Amino acid sequence: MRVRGRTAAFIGVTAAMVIGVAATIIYSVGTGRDPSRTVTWWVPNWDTPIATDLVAEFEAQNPDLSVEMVETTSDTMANKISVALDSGDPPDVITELASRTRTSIAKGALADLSDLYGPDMPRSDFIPGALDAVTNDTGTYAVPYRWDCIALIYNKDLFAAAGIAGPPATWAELEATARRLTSGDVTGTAWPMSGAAEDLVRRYLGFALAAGARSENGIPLLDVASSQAALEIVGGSVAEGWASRSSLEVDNTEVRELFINGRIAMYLGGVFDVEQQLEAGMNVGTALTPGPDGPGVQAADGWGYLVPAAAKNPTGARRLVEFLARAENMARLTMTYPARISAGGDARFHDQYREPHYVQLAEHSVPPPNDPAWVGVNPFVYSTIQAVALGQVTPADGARAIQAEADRVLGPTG
Amino acid sequence: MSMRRLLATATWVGIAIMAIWTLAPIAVMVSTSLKPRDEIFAIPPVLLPETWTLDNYVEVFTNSSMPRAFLNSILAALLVTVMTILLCGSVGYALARFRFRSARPIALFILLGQMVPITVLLLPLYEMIGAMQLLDTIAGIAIAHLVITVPLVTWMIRNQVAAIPVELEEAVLIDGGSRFDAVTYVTLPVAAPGLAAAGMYAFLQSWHEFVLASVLTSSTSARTAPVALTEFASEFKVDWGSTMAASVVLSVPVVIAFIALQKYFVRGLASGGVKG
Amino acid sequence: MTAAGAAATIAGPSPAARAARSRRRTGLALTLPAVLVMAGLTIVPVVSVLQRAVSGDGRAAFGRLVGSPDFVQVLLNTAVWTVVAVVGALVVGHAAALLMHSRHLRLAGFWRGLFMIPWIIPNVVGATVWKWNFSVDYGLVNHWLLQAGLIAEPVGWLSDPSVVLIALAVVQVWFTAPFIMLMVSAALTAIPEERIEAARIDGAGGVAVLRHIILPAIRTTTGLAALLMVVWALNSFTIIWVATGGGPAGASTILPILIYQAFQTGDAAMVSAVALIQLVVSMVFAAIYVRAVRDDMEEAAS
Repeated sequence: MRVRGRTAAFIGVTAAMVIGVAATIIYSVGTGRDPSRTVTWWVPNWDTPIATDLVAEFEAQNPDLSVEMVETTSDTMANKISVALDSGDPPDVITELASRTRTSIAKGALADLSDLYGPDMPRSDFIPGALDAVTNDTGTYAVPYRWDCIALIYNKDLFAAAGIAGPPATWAELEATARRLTSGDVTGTAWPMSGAAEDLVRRYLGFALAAGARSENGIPLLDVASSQAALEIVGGSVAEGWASRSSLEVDNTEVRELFINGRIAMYLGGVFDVEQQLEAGMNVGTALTPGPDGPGVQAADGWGYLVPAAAKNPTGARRLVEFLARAENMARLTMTYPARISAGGDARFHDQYREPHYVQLAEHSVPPPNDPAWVGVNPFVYSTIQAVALGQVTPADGARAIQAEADRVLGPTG
Repeated sequence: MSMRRLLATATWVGIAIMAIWTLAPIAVMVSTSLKPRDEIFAIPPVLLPETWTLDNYVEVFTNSSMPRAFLNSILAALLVTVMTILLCGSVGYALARFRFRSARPIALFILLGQMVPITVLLLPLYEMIGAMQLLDTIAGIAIAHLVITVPLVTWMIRNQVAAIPVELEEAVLIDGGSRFDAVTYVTLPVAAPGLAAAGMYAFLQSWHEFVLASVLTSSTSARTAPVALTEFASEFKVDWGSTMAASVVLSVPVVIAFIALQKYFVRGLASGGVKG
Repeated sequence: MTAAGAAATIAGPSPAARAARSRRRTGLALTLPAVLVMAGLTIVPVVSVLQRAVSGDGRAAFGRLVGSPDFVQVLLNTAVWTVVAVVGALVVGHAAALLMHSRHLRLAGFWRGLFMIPWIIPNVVGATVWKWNFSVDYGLVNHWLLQAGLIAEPVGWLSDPSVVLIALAVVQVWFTAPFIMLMVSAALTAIPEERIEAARIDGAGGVAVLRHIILPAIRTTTGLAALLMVVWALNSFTIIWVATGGGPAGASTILPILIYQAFQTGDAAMVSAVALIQLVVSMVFAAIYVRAVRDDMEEAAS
């Protein structure tokens, strides 16, 4: 009789399992919610606290709609968004990085939001470049709400100790200053050579653009001379020793940690970094990025609201985006700067630390080169910069290799 | 006697080497979880915190969705384990005990699942789970995770069953028991170590899986622990202290459970339980 | 058994043949649920990979891949990474399992549980800890080696192209060896104690017992573990992605990193092209394994 007991238990577990899974599926298929009353918004978790307040206001003004917020995180959002857009079952509104947007535009996965721009939200009210990043020949596919770029951050104490009066303004000064600051444990600067490819490539591109390269519709039009000039700074500086050899194993945040530890005297970083350095009690200054002979250029980037082409509630989605894009709401929901100029008047965007970054952004920035084909070249450029830093190839050879690869992938115009 | 002593010493030296090799990086993880933020990237590095703090643990328990995510992970992994063992017990037994022409193609086909890169599986699985309306549910994750557990567990169970002499089962049949009885009363107990290993494998495959889980879930009600860990990273900074604290909190119960399960590993063929 | 099956089909519906057919049917029926589940989960993705890989875009992607200046280096890297990671994990995993089986050890279960920890902690966290340990600035490995006087200046474990791949493979061994320990431990319990005792009485030393009794007895497990390690090595990118992103200068770029890069840049054709290469390589190993197991079974049956 024992025999039957155990056998029966075994069969019981199996049956329960099968029935359980089947019932879950049937139950789930049977339930659904009314899409015309709900707007689903994917929002990054760092925006959640303020976004929650904004949503409450929106729902109060639009009693016929309820907003369902879904948190995304920095490390998961790119995959999630691309899969959801590809699957044809996306949410209604997505907060997404502008530099990743053009890939989705090219796939036809986004709705044209051109009609949202008008007297209440004129295109001219956006920081130059912000709309270019999300626009092509057929329309504008996002509303940028936050826009920023990197600029120079330097350690005033280390500068003073080396007898240097102020931040470098030109490339020659940059190199000379960095060399002078390099002694003992301290190195002039460092680059994030081991993080996301686009972080490093963006720094290289900033210098290339300042040296004469242009960028159109998300495709940088490089030439060997400007590319070589950029590689001499971003890669060559490591090989020559005025940028830290640790560059090869640090990402953005670890460059900041090197700076906080006093291991590097200056670097190109975002305005958000400054807050952390002030918290750590550092005596820091900010300045425009040096260029060949005057202010240099940076590729800006930012965040925008997308409405997928396959959104279930497109009208509700537009109403939410229209609400979020009002100048006052933009000013509230930004960790750096708002994308609309009329939203950027607040004093908190213009203190002594933030002002240089804002000037860089408003006057010396270009939209991120985000054409899918160029994004595909990024890993090669990234790897070439590292090779220059290791001294495996000269900046001149590196520039020719990048040019060849860009020509191969983008066609001779690239 | 002295030979015995030598062997004993060698064993313990081996254990000491293994312990250092495995646990030194874990020590870094634990000590980081006890450091205040500004000590984590200190140069030169120090293993032990200068100021000990439990702030990171407080953060994990009070200000994150980690407790819920832990529960989700455990539920998903248990569901995966039970489904996997049932499915693979059946197919593994068949492959070990029955001879049929299609056995080898079937065995190879099942292994195929383990070879497909997850990045390729992502979109089809998302659409499939979406069609079942199981996106953002624990059941949905569990079903998707079968693809990374079933192939290998099938083979683990097949090998374990194949190592058991078929005569043991035949003895039950001769005594008038059914084949099913033979399996539950003879094969399963003897195969217990293999089944335990297979179960642990299935559990941990699901426990670890990040890419599928991150795409298939969107709310805290289904988000698993590895995905929830990313909540400690924002665009510009990563709260490594809390991330490490959360990892410690996540790992301790699982380690204890696994130590408890170790008793299944000492039962061998020779040690009884098999009386025919 | 195959011979018996063939005989049965010729002999027609004798009682023995009927029994054989019913056994076949039972066997097939038992495989059905798992086969259906795996078919449901994998056929669509695999077919779409194949379709895209042979389409015009896919062939163009193959061309780009093979034509890219670094392709040979990627293949070499993948080979080195796979060999070091697989052999290392097998050696460490088997050694640990045998240690756990030593009769001189107390609390084997406790130790085994403890040594499982690398496999239990989240991958990203483990990879990050190793990244720190190897760092020139924040790394304890360099710090301790310097203090012990074993090296004169910090080694760029992750930034020196000549050591980075080996350093990362060591991390992969750290992550995967516990799993081999687990599988081998389970297999060791199935060896009857009497056989080892009998060999001992015949005068066999420890090494001889290991070589002639223990290792042959667990060889299907060793084979399966090796297969899985290969598959993991060919599919895992977390460690490399977190620690170096494939750098410096491509020194740690392996096939899965290429797939992930292509996936992130939305290059679906390239994803399919690399996935197909990986699939074929893995299937070759799987076929070798299945074949070896079959020979093994037939030996045992005869």
